[in-house]
Amino acid sequence: MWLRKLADWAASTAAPPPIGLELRPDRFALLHVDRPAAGPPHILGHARHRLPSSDPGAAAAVLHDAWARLALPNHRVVVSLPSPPARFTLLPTAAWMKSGAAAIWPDITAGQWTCVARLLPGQPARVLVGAVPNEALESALTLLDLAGLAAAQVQIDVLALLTAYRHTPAWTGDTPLARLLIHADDDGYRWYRLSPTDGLPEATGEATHETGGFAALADQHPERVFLAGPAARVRTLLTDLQATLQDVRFCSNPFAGLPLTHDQDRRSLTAQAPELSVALGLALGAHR
Amino acid sequence: MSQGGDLGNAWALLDLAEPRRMARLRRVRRFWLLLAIPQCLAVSGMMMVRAISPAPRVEIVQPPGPPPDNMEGAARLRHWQKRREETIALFAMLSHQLPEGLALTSLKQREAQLTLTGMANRLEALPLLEQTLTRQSGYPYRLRREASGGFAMARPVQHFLLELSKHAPKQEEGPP
Repeated sequence: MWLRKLADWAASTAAPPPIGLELRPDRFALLHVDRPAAGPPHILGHARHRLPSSDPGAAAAVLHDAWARLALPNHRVVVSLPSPPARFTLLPTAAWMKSGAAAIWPDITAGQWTCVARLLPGQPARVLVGAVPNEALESALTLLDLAGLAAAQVQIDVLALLTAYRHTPAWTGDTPLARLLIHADDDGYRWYRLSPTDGLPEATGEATHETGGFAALADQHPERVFLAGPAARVRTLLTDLQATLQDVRFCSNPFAGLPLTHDQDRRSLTAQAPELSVALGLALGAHR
Repeated sequence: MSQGGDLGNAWALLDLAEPRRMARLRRVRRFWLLLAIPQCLAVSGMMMVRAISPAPRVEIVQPPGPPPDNMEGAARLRHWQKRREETIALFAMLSHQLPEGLALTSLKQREAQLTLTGMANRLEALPLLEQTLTRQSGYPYRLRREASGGFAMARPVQHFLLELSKHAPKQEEGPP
């Protein structure tokens, strides 16, 4: 019993978990989550604001203000990079040993890209490879520096979305489902088919908001569709998809099953859920 | 996640900033190493040199208080000059006539007493030094001579202490 007490005490004195921050050139969304050792995570606070994209100094000031206003206890953040500049893939270990990242993506050059590989457990062992252009990484980290924040981890936003939806009941079905993850941004949207064996996304296609592209989506025959991105975009996309795809369940709110510390936040969280879901995934997936 | 549960949430641990952080850590570590290595070498070298030949500690103790008040100006000056010449002669003698195989570690000169400590690596060096000093310096009497058991215990160096005096030592008044 005293061992349990000691463990609880150690957990309570440990550094607070980093804050999930989805940082884009023109906006940011942040989410402060408490992750107790047992039980579901608690949402402590959230914010989203526009950033003046032309002036890094002013953008840093806005970020700093948001931190001061919410009185956040931690200056360590987990940020993500969007997946068109960033790339990721899953390889068998042997293939990775033989060829490395240069053979997978012949167009990336060593000096201008940062490449990371992480060995995943399981049988057979596989390697998750991510790559990002140094320029994109540099600009994100510089903005954080200006705002007085420190990046504890830099993640890819589609992978963060997977973490966000782990707590959604619709995601955790018992039978294998054909799942589709749609990530919208200001120009268009891209969709990822989730592999039924390992749950990792494969980039399947992209479309702009004008052209639609729902026919290609319907060809995937999804049973579950998860949506994320700016709320207005997701809402219109959702109505269009519901008209096209029948017998499909849609989910755009990963906060549905999560307890809140302040229950009055529920309404605003639900309204902003699609655009906070990347930040949620970042906060939940941060290193302990 | 029950579907494909073998992976769990492992992809959440991907960190694109990791190589950058590692490179920075490496840079910092290399910087401190480069900063520390020459100083460590210098300190250990100095310690080794000092262990072989320690710097002698020289102390010349003036008599406590000013010279006697009954001395007038010229006598005071003569008294001071005489002491100074004695000291210079002693130093000259020690620097020229120190027997081979001797190293002094300290020298303390008092009004009527001279104390020397040092190391000897020859058996005959210490008696030779004593002989030279009692004859030529102004301290003809031996008060004390002590030496560590260096040669007796098959060690290469013998530490010694030599105490000389200007005046004959008082005779012991029988056993207590």
